[in-house]
Amino acid sequence: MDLAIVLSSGLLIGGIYAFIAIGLNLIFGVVRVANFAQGEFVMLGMFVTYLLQTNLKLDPYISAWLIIAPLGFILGALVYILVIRRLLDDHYMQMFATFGLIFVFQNLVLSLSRGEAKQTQSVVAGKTINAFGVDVSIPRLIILLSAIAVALLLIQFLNRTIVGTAMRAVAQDQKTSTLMGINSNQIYILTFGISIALAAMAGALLTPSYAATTEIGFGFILPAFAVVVLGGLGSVKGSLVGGILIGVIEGLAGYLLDPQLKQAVWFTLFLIVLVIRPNGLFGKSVKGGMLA
Amino acid sequence: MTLEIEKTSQKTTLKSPLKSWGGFVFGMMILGIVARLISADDYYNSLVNAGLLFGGLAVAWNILGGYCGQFSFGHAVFVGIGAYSVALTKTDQNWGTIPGIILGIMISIAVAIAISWPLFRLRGSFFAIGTLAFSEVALSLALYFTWTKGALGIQIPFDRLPTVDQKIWLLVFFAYLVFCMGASLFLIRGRLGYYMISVRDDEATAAASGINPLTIKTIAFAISAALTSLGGSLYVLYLGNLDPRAFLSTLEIGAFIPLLALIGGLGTLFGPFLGALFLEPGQMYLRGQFAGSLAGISQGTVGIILILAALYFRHGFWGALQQFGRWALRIVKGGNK
Repeated sequence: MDLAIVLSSGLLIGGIYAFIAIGLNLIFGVVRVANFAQGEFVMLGMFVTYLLQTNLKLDPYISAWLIIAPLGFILGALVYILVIRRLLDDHYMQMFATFGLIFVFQNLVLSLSRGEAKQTQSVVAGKTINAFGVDVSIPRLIILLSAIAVALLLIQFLNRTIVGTAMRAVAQDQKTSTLMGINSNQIYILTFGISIALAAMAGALLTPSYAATTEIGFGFILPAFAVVVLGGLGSVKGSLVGGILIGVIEGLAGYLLDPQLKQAVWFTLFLIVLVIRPNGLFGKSVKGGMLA
Repeated sequence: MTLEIEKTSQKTTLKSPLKSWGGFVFGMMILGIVARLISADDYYNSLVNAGLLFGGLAVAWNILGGYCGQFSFGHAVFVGIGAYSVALTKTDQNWGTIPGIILGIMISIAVAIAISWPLFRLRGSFFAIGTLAFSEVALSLALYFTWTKGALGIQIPFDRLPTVDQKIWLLVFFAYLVFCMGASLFLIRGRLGYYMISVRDDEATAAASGINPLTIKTIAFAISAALTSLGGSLYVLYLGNLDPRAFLSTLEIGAFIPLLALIGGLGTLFGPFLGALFLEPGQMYLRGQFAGSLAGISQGTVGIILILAALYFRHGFWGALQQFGRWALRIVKGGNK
């Protein structure tokens, strides 16, 4: 029975990784920016959700959809317009700028929160349901289900709508798609907006089960990159499956070896995949990384 | 993923007097005198010490990142190797200082060569992500093993430290910086430096002209790692205590050193240490001034400077200085006519 518990908890952690990785992968695949600050938007989402609950008595699951996601979209669009847009030609400066964002957001929140950890309350917080003899934490189950829902919605959006198709076109070949009359600047704004909105939403959904600290965001960024590499650049489906895979591997490594070594195990795996299959399990090619 | 690398230091010609040994000695002498003058009391002395040490680390990183164009966010690993080698041999084996430092350098070179093969198959952002992951593995291993003393870290006994005199440390760190700068200058004046710059600017062309990019990158990595390890050893001897989360920290060491180099001027001789000299003591000073009132203001300021540098000063302080110099020269020349 132990193994079932390990697998289920790995699955639930994987849901968190997948949720964060989907947004990261969208930026990476479409705009070609390795956004090291993605985790900080998760962290910001957590703290704003906390503020909304203490001041307006809003349940995190309501504010995630109604307030956090739109705010995240606006913030993402602003970050793109003010910073990233000017650096599109220079990958190294992008990395530096996103590290600058990490320093700014972490320390902004640190000075406002005075370094205290914050956690929100919800009717489901701390509750579990019993499925096949295994206790499953409801807040984490909600995240996993939300990640799956978001991935499915995003795939539909990318494949079925004209804007989504334009996004895929820009991801494939920005210059040619511009010649075809697609405004790649608008597509990039939209991509950043959606991606940061997802990150912030992930943060909001995390608050009932995780305490918000200023460093929590940076802790998520490497698992998320590992998921992106494993699942393939620009592949939403890959991010979902990769996230769950990384979560399960982490759980198993913690169970079979030592909980402290779980990171080392999947980082090593990440390095191996990065070297052997740089396109990931679902990515078609790094250069023309396909979406969905 | 092919990258169009921003040509960061194209404007500095290789004939520049700043890249002669005479200019180097002159510059270092001025720096030494200024550093000594500022360090009137222990507090300012400690600020200058940090500036010189991180200056040396930034210069060491610049050999791989600036000249060879490979952005490593994992140099904390080599700081850690240098620190652990000295701290462990001192506390467990009763070794002297110098053998411990040399051991650290040897291990760092070996590790750098060993991970070169997988890591240099990655390009641009992927290389950076790979080094970041490498650094996290190192941290989790350092925390896991018992012979590294786990999360407790290592406290070097007071009587085992070579010296605790701030004034002597000022000299040591100054010597370290001079050594790193000298090594950089020696490299870029020689054949290897040209090879490195050619690999950075256009890898395909470099390979077509008979240079093996992997070999050049590996050599640059090994040299950079060795110098970084030396800095890590000195750092732990200076602090007297090794906290793995501080020494192997990505944000405070691994990503911070490249940022210093960037803000100073990537791929230039003087830029990286100039960046460190202003920023490291500057943020320590801010931290001291606002301690207790505004947490996080020092690093937040670093972040803002960083974003502004990426947006408006891609050539860093040094590039801005050069631009100012050219502008001043034009004014002076115009005045004579």
